Amino acid sequence: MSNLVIEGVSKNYGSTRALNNVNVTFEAEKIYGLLGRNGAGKTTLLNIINNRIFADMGEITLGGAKAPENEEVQKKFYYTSEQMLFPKEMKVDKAIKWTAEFYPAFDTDYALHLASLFELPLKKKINSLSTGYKTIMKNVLALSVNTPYVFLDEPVLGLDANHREQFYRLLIEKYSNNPATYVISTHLIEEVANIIEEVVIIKKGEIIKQDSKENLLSEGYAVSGVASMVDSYMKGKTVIGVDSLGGLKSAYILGSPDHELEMGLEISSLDLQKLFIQLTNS
Amino acid sequence: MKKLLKYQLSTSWVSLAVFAVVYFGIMAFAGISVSFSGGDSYSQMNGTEMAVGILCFVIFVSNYGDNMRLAIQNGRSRKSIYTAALASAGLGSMMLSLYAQIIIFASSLLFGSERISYISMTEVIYDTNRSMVGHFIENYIFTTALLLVTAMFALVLAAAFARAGKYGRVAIAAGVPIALFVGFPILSGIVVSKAPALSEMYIRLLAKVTGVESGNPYIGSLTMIIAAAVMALITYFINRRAELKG
Amino acid sequence: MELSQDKPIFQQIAETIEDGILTGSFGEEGQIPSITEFSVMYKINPATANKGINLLVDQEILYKKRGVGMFVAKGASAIIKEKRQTQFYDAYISRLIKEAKKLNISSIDIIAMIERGYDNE
Repeated sequence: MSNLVIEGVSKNYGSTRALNNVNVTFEAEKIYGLLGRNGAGKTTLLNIINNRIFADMGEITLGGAKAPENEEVQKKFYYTSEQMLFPKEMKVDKAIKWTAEFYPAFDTDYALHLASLFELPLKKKINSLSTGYKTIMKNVLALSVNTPYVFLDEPVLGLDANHREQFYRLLIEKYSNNPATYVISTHLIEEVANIIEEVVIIKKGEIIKQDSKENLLSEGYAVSGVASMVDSYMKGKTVIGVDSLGGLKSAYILGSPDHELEMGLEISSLDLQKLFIQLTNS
Repeated sequence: MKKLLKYQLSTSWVSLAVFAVVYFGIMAFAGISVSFSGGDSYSQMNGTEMAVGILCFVIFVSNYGDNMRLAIQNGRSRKSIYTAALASAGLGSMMLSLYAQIIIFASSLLFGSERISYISMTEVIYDTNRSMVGHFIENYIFTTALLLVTAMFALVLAAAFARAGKYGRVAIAAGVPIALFVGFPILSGIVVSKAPALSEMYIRLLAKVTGVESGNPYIGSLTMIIAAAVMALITYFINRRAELKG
Repeated sequence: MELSQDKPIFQQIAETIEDGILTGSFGEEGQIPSITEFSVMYKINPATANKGINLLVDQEILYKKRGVGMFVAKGASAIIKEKRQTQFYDAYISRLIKEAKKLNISSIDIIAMIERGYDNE
């Protein structure tokens, strides 16, 4: 399966630049976290990739073939977003049936199995489902569709803790047994941190980081202790952020920690959510 | 595209079936009730194809948005969606037209009498003297063209509506009926009274183009098909860059 | 089963497997859970679980049977014990001494505590 390459994509809404010269590549069979704050541009990017809206500039290609308006490419993508694109009057089982019609690799038995796991009522109309269950229905489809690229926009929005956990476990199992590229777009960083392999951070319409999670987190470390000790340690180093609580302080620093560490200073690894917050605070 | 057509059929067959039954039912009811009532009243169930035209319009207008959203969700291109819409308009028009002609003919046979007539719209508009088979072909073609026009008109409106923003949608939803049923008559009234020569010319042109002047339904059919083609082209351009909004 | 923040996850996976081998939960020549099972259990990316397991394969603690799964190598227990004995000073003693110095506990007190511990635990 080829890579999905996004080059120079920009999108304006009136005078607002929603996306500005976005360059990102999604490789085959990896789980990506597309991380960004509310309004950063995650959904706009996904909408463009999946032929819902058009970019003002730039190219999106899969193995060289253009993605917009191209069914050969779009049939390799599946996208679930906050927008409910199924007719509201349609029943859940019909939504499953029609998705299977349009996507030949769709596993209907698996979908029905997931529906019963989540207690998703098959005979109910979509508009009579709660927000959480609308999301669950979309997730059931996304996990059963078996396309090489699956895009999930906030896949746990409205889900209770049990369902969230269930979803993550099913996603991991599915990915392990049938590898594909999953792009999870979310602002719930902590929850997905262990699941994603690759990180793409988008801030105010621009990609500010694109790397493997491992590389990103090894770029730096956190040092904590008494504020005065931390302050002196910080001198001459690239500090990307600090947290203070009374006399204690934590500093987030790029690079490798000093070999010799004063007693009272503790080193810990960067946490993806903390790194994200530090990078995306204005 | 076949799958899109399959889907469109699955979402509209109930409306079609209901209409089919109701249409025949009303025709039958009219005929039967006339035969039971006394007196010399004369009823006309003429030009009932208008109802089929309205059905056509309503189905296309109401399904367009949902169909397009579902198609995009399932990886189809706007070009496919457009082609499927045209195909179903074409096929739908032909089938509905056939059904209408059959019902009119059957009703005429079964329920027709000196007291009630079932005539096709074509015969109402054009005064032609043809054989039964000739009539049937004429009526069929004219009705098909009429349905095509209503379907295309529905598609243009629906496509424009889908593409429009908040205010555009209000403008279309309110503006089109007002323009058709209020604006146009008023405008005609003004033209007729203020510029009778102009309205004379206009009416003469209309009569020529619809074939009423020459009593030729084929000219009218051609005009309608051309109108449908123009609207199809407009729809294509509206649809091409339509974005799915929230 | 809880993952901590201070060590890379793949390393924690490797250590959990090693613990299982030492305690006998995973017997030598026996099969261990699959990568899928580990990933689902810990809610981590399968590549991470894979990395932890590969680490042990490189150290000849585990081996792969194609088409079947991962197995504990013969003599794995011994390898793990030797490895951990070597790491024991850095892993435990170093920290113990640092903490003791913080609290002003002398080395003599520590030795007494250790002997007490061996008697009681």
